[in-house]
Amino acid sequence: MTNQATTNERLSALMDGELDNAQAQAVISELLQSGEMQTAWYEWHMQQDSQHGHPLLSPDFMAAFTSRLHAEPVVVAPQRLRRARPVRRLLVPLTAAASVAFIGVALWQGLYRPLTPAPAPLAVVSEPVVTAQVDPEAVRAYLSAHREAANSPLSAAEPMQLAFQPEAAH
Amino acid sequence: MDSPMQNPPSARDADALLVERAQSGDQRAFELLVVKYQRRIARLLSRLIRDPAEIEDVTQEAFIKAYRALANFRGESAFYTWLYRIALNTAKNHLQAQGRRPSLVGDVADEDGETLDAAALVPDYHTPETELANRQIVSTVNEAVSDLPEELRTAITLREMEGLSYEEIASMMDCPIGTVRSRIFRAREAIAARLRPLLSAVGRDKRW
Repeated sequence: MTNQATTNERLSALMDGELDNAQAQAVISELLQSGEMQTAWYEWHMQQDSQHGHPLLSPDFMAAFTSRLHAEPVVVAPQRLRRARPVRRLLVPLTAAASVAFIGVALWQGLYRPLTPAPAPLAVVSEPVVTAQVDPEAVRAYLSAHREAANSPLSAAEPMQLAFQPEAAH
Repeated sequence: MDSPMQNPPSARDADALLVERAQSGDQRAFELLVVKYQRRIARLLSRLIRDPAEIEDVTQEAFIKAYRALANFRGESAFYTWLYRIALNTAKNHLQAQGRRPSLVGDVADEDGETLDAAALVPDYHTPETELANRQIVSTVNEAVSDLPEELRTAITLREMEGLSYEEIASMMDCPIGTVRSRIFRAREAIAARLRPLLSAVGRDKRW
């Protein structure tokens, strides 16, 4: 069998939906380039139509159509959706599952929290709160030492303002 | 070559692939779809429109509308199902624009166009010239099929008339799938060889 016959046999199988995806893609690429294969495509579909009772159109139908088609702007559809579909197929159930899980957890927390014994209210402490006793001079000395250790461009001797006003030691 | 094969794991039909190519800007791919479906669409429209020249005009218009809408076709239905709807709407709009009421002649029950009744096999919308050419082609194809060696005739008939897959045909004919594929191809080639002289004389589209 010649190469062309082999190729046309694959074209015949393509018409019948009997090629896997990779083979079909390859044959379509060849078909779009080969006048001989396109003639076979035309003749074989005419045979099929004839066997199914779909009759001929006038001999200039395709010539007229092609000239109209070439006057049309070329269609270029975004290929995105087709490629994104597998990802979307995966993401949709995942996000749905995540939403359901979140709602479930929220409901569980909302519904079942009262079943756990609530901690007793804290007793009011009458003892006065002890506030920190900070000596501003000690803080300044600490920060100056820190600047020196960190090689800060600021002079260790440069006066600094504390951002808080520590209470004077009682 | 005739080793047993299973059905392709991810068989892709040619329509889907041609649509993808056309959507990527290859107009030739769309032309090949038109070559495939022109007669089926014209047959469908002949149920709404009687005038032969008008049928061809509306058929062309339907394909142009399909091309313009192609970017929106996402393959959620078969290409022919989508095309069928566009063709019917185009015909209805055409008739309404002319102040005529769409009315079906005969049955257009099925979107795949395969359920037309037996009377539909007789062309009813052709000019005398194209009708004659059509009858010659039908008769030549029928003769060519009858003259095929039995194994080729059986394979092509089971495929074209019964719509069986290669695997089913292989099972019925008790042979490998590769043999079925080869027989169907050889049958198509033999029929085409008988058709070519006739097409040159009367019916081959000037574009092809």
